[in-house]
Amino acid sequence: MLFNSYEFLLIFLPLVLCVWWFPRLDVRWRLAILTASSYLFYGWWDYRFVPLLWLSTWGDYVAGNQINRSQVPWRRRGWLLFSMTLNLGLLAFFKYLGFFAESWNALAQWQQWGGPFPVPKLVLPVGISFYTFQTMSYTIDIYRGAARPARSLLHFAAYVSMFPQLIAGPIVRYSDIEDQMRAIPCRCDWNVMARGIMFFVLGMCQKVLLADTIAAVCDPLWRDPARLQLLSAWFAALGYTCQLYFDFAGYSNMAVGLGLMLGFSFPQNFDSPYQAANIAEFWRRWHMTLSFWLRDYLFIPLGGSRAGSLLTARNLFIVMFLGGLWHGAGWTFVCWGLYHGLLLAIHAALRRTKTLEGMSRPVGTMITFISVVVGWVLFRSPSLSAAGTMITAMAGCRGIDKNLEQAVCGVWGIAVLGILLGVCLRMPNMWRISVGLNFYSAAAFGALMAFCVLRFSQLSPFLYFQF
Amino acid sequence: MPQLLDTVPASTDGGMENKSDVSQHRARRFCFVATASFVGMLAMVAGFNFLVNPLAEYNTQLVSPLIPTTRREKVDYLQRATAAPEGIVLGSSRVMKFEPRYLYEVTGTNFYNAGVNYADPYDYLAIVRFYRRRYGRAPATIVLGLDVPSFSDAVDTDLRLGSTPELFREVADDLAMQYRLRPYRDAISWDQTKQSLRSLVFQVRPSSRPHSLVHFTDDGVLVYEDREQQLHDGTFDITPHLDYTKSEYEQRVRGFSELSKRKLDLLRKFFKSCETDRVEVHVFITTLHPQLADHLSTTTSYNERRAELCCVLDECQREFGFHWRDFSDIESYCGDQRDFVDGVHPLEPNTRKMIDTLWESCRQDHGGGSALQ
Repeated sequence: MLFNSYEFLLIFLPLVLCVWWFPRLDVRWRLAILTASSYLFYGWWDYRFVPLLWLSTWGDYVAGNQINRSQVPWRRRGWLLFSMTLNLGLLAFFKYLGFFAESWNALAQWQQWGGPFPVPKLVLPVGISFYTFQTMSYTIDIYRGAARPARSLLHFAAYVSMFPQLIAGPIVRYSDIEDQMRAIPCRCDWNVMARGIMFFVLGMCQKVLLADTIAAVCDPLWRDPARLQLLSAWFAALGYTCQLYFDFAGYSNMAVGLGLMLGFSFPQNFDSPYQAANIAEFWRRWHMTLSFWLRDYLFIPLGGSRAGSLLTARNLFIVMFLGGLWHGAGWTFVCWGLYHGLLLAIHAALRRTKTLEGMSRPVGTMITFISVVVGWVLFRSPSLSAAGTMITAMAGCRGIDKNLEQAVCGVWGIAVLGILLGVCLRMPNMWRISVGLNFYSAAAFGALMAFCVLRFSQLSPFLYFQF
Repeated sequence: MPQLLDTVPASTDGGMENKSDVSQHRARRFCFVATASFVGMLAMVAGFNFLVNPLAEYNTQLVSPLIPTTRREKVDYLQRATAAPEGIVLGSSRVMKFEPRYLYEVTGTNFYNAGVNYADPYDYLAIVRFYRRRYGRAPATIVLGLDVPSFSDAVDTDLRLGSTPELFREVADDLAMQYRLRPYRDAISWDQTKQSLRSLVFQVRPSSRPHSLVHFTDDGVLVYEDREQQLHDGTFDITPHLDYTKSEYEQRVRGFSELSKRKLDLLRKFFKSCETDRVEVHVFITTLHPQLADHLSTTTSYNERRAELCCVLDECQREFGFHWRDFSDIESYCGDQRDFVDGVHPLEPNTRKMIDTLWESCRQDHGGGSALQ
């Protein structure tokens, strides 16, 4: 079920909220209903993958309890290993098996090593990358002593499956939400509910009014990169840059809003990333929950940045390589990850030599932004050759568009892109905006939401669903 | 916590508690007003679209719809006609040039062209059932033109079927819940709201309404006023019309990975009912302009789906005993590519050739007899 669908907004959400805040309903019942409705939300897309969610939930719940109970180090490590194997095994099987088989076959063919492996054609369970990372954070945090085990399987199942963040994040670590899960509010705090409505409505506007609008302008250009020249290639790349941001940030804000409507506070996932003055800052502001997850569970255990320039660069490359692979099983994502690894390594080296100290913030922002845009070309392209075509067009090697209006999709296209770039680069994000609670703002938010619903007529899934 | 709102922190202090109550009250009012504003605005838009009814999806007729309502017109004709036509032509706008007069010359049977825009198996079944209800018996002969894209699940059944109660009730039980909910969903869509506003402008200023460029003759045949006039004058240029149909059909066929099981079941139901009523059925796959055929074969899976439809028709032919031909390529009926008004709509010279080929092949298949049952 999509947040931007009639069935979610007009039936599912009102029903869940009414039941969740039903007076005098026992917490256990409320959690059971929330969990069941989350499974329904997930199963709406493909019910066959709900047992997979159960498996991950049950496995990590058991592993978490065993780690907590046991005082024997090897047994604790064993249960942690079980949890990692289960989650990474699910990911490897559903997400990467086909990719590895295809890559191996290509290599085998090139080296003439013999017959190819059969390539399995598996459907990727939506949200698997997100919920496996969440459940892994649970067992790792318990192993480290940073969290206590969930009160019951029901509590844990509600945390894993909670529909606002189940499919595309933010990646809510158990330690982030542990206290809230232990003290679930029984009465609705209307201030929090109002805040939730605002986040949800503004997130919906980001998705439906901004991301989908620029997508309609830019998507036709991406269909055939070979036709693009300097201006149209930059237009397509900048358009996708805006689309991805508003699509994903919109989803994250809607998830935060829905969480608040249920009385839960989720972490911030975007903090105006395109306003970052360097690439390290960009990664502290883009998909923050994933960045922090990778930092805390991968980069720091590898040694972080305290072990000298070469080791820091190695760690950054490993983390970003895996970060790229997390986004998708394809060489374009691997290259995108390595590209960012390279940018981060260069930045770390320049920072060590204090070369960046004299650079003004606007210049840093511009360099970072352009580097990120080039990275998105790798991210968006269906193949490395298509990405190469696009990047050469952006470099001007394929000529300059003669028809300026056609290159930028007319006045409408350039106006939309200009406004969105202005919002990305100059405006404060929703977490920093302050809105008064009065009749007019309420009517305006209601009307905005209604306007978004009018734009639902075409199915428009979120870009991050594919990861 | 998000900083979107300035909130008053909760406190155990009495004065602050009071403030907190005020803040709660204010926030609660905000939530209710926002919800009411949301519901109210949607209700207002839905009511407006329902009353204006720009795409003829509802049964309201306060304002003239923006699109042709062929189902309404054809049903009205059949209700008015005192003598039942013995045969009917079924299909989409692509069969609307099949002339009952010519069919009479070839077969000696009195026909009516009941082709409707964007027809699919629901329409065939609805029209035949309506005919049976109206005249107390089934038609003696049916000429049915099948469009390959109409068997895609991505191409929804036309909502104008739902706004023609006489036809809708004939297939109401067969229609999926999704179809029945669509008019409600469409009532709160931006596209329909835009069309409603446009329709209202035309209603207020009739001079701004574009003049309809088509009309139907008494026997249900479509007349393209402007294009036929241009053809007559020798000034007709098919290129822009071809380009339009190329992009339209490319879009319609995109993602068409398999024939709709639901629609195939309905087609079988249609053949079954014709077999039961001993109706003589002649089926053909509608024709394409060669340039469009080439375009679709290189850019889409049209030919694969067409081949699958041919297999289905072969199976159905064996089971239900009708006669069919594939006229996708103009060579199959010795057609002329100049006798098209765009990529998919043939003119009379081509439809006549199709009728000749259909009946000639039928005679050959059945050793000179015309009756197929």
